[in-house]
Amino acid sequence: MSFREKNAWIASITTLVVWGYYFFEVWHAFELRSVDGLLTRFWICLGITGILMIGLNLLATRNRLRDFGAPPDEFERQIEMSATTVAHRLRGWLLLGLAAACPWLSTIVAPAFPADPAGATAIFIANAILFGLVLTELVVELIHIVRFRMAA
Amino acid sequence: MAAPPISNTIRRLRFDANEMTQQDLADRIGMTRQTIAAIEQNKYSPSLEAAFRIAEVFGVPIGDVFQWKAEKKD
Repeated sequence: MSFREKNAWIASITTLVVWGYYFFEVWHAFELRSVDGLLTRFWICLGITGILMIGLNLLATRNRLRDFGAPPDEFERQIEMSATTVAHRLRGWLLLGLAAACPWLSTIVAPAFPADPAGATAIFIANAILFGLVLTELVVELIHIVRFRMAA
Repeated sequence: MAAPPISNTIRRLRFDANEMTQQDLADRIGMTRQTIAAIEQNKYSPSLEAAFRIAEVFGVPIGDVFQWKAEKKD
């Protein structure tokens, strides 16, 4: 397994576990009608993602200088390009869908948080955007894995 | 995904070159071992430049490394 494939596996699993937990907490916050501590959890999840990605990649590599310093070869660049094309379109459609869904989202969130309806709506829309970005990155890494496995 | 209509003799050429490893070949042309494995198994068609580099490593013409499998026409 190449270093870049290991990198894709690490990124996928880290994203699924850490951000899966975070978005579960966002849903839980909506159910509890309390967004307290959500921002702290976001920064913690971001920090854990960074630490896990760097740590696991360091553990996964056999030759650190060669693996971290080497530019992608033409096959890896081809995979990267196809994944980026899909990601670009998916991100665009998700953000467009989210923009269209914003009025509907506010009719659900605002009544649930009577103390600060506008603030709560903004927080959940921001988290919906974050969900779209995380989902796109996950799809990119899964495309990498599938393409690498097809050529293995 | 259908395999490209190109075959190659990299495995035999490596054998003839004193059992050169895929990693050795990859290092000499600036690719990863996995890419060489994919080319060798006909799962990826390299660029013209990479094909020339591979031929140069073995000191043979490019036609001795890659062969076009012409499609049958009715």
